[in-house]
Amino acid sequence: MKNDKTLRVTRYTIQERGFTLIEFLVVLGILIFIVPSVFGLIYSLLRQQSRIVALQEVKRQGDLAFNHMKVSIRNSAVTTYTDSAGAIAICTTAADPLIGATSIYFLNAIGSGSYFGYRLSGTDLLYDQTSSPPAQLTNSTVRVSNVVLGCTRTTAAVPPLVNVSFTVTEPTNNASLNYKTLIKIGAH
Amino acid sequence: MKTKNTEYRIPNTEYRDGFTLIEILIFTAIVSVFFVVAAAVSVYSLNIMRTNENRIYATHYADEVDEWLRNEKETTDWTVFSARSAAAPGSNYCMNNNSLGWATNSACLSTDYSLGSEYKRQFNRDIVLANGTDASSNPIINSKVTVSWKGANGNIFSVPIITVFTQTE
Repeated sequence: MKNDKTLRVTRYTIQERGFTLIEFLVVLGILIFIVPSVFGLIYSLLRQQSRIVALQEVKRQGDLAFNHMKVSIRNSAVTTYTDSAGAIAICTTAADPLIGATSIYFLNAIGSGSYFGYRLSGTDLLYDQTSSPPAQLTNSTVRVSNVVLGCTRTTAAVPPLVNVSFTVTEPTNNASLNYKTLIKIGAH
Repeated sequence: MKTKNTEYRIPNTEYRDGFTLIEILIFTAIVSVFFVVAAAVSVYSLNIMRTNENRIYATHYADEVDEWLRNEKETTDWTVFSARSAAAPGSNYCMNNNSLGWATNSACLSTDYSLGSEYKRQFNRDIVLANGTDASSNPIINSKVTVSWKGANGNIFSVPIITVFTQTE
């Protein structure tokens, strides 16, 4: 009897070589939970990273355009115009404000008779300067929208106030920042 | 009898070439530790990224209201502007409106957190305006803008910007 038992156990062990269906199912079941979680986590990380890169780009380009406008208008603008040649003057008195425009030009304090200004071209913000090609303040990775440029003046004795507002958006990741300020013309 | 037994046990040992339970357990333990650590690091990294993203927004919102305060000071009379302030610790304003305008004279509620774009309304923006005088006894207004938000684990993060406004600036 003892011999028979030993023989049976030995044969059973020799025959059990591969995995059973149950073992495969268990492994598959575990993998079905683990693989999507791992890929989901990696996807979240990459998506978050790309959102931050987009937002940084929006802030970088928005800040550049915004500071460019603030510094130039505050330091170099003398008088305001609606055209790049300085033919149509605006904000000369309280009675002729510019409201809700997408472009504005100024007589430049530096360089006699030269003008500079800002305008929206498609979804880019451009900086125009007499006898220079227009410079792009924002590039095609972001879109500039809701551009509102204008000027007001309370009396002829005080310098005009230029109002600037725009929105910079990165369309793929939906990152968006608003910019808005009033700038007093400094070289008036 | 004894000899026969031994003959059958030797082949049994030779054919046992699979893994033992202990080996499987050790392997599983190592792999689990690796996965758990990797997942924890990823989640931690994700939280830091979210915080950084919010910090960029918060800095922009703080800059925005700081710029607006400068405009208010430029476009209104100093007397009108300084009337918005009070002696230290100053007067509080909750500037959670996106359109920017003087809000009611109170600090933002800890339940508010309503400033932000359409998908991320989760910031509080407080202004504290305290008036005083500088070393030459000229009137000044100290402004402290604080944009705060709640992190994933309930921590409160904030970005403060301090500005001094003078009458003759």
